[in-house]
Amino acid sequence: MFITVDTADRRPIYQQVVDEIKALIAKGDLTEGTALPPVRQIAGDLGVNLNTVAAAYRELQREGLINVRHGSGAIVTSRTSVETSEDDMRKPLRAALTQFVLAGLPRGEIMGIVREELRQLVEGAK
Amino acid sequence: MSTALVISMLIGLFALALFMWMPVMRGEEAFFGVRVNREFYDNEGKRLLHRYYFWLVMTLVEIEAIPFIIAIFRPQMSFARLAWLVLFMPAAQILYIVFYQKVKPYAIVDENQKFASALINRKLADYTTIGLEILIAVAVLAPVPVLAYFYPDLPDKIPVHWDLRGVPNRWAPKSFGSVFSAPIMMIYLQGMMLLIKHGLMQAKMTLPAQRTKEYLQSKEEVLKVNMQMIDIVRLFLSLMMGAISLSIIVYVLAPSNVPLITAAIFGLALLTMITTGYFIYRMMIVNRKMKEKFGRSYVQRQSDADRWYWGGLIYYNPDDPALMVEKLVGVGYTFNMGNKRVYLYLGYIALLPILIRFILLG
Repeated sequence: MFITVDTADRRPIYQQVVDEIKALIAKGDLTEGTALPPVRQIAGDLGVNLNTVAAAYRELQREGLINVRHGSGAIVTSRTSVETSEDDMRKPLRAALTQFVLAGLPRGEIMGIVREELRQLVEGAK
Repeated sequence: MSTALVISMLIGLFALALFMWMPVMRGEEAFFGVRVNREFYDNEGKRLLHRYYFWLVMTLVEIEAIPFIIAIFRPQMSFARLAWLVLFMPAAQILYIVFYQKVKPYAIVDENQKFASALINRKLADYTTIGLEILIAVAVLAPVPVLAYFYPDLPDKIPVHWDLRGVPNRWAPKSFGSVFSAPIMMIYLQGMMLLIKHGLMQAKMTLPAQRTKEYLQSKEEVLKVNMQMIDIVRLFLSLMMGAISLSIIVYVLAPSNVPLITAAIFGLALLTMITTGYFIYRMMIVNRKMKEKFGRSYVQRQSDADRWYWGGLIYYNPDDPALMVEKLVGVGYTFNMGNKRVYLYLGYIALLPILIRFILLG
């Protein structure tokens, strides 16, 4: 199990780390009680600053997904994020769909892409 | 031609072979510690390599000639036989760095921007077995009650160092430190090797963004083999030290059995070298398979690649949180000298002379 970051991506590194770990939790690859490695190990492997990965861990803790133990990594605590309103969650989806529409893709194809992405996430859910 | 001269010449040839092998240990991945493309490696690189070999051999011959000439005119100056070794190593090192500087302009700048990290929370317990730990603990501690039992029977001066023939050549006054020197040393060495294992577990393991899972599996295998090698050394060393403890008692109370103990110690030392060689061989095989499968056995960001010095021998990167990184030249791992935690290890190693002083003077 691993996470990948891309320095050419527009998202900041810490956001990529957050998104990657969230995806693994959503898919069920990271189950409750699974220990995550210490911040320094991920930072060393990826060649990024300690604080970048620490910020990612803090964000995940804020959303109630992990519990950070100082110096010895973190534990996945729940598969349910405490992120609040549906409206907040719709915004990035709306933005992403807008990009597809602007790219000129027909509705059917966009729906196919959405279904495919969702299937990849939820299919492995335990 | 005396034995000492033959041995020193053999050591010289071994040192020469090592320095000849160093630049090509990892092929074009770390040619003099620099990543170059295949084309350069096969052509201009080969020419540079042969020139390096020429100068290495010339240096060795010139340095060997001096003690040989001295030995003719001053046969009593036996130290001259060793002087060359002291001169050859730094000379070969300087030559290596000179040629590294020649190769450096041809380094491939890796513009790769995607990297992965394994989300594995490694524990020391994953890299050992309970049986082995018990065995080592027993081997380390068993001599203690035996030494304690025979303590009163030992004379005021006890042997603490033996020569190659098993005859003691250094003595110390009987004391807690000198009699229990072997178990004390062993506990210290076990601590050091456990520290190294702990460091290895946290070593930097940058993964590629393609075929990540397969690559990770190979890397995990290399790590596991490295850990196994350390564990075997731990076991054999503890048995050797146990035998050394016994030799103090045996030498004093049953001297006819000394050759047996000496043979056991030599046998264990030989076993250690053979198994270590085997594990290193296995690591090299995995590295070669990785080069065939993935085109490389080592992934690093350009910012980290710029932090290797001395022809890829020293890694100094204060911005890198990793304590240990994989060696560029050779197999195994090396310290990130820019990481402050290295001082912990250096401090622990610095305890050694203090420990030896305590053992010898009590």
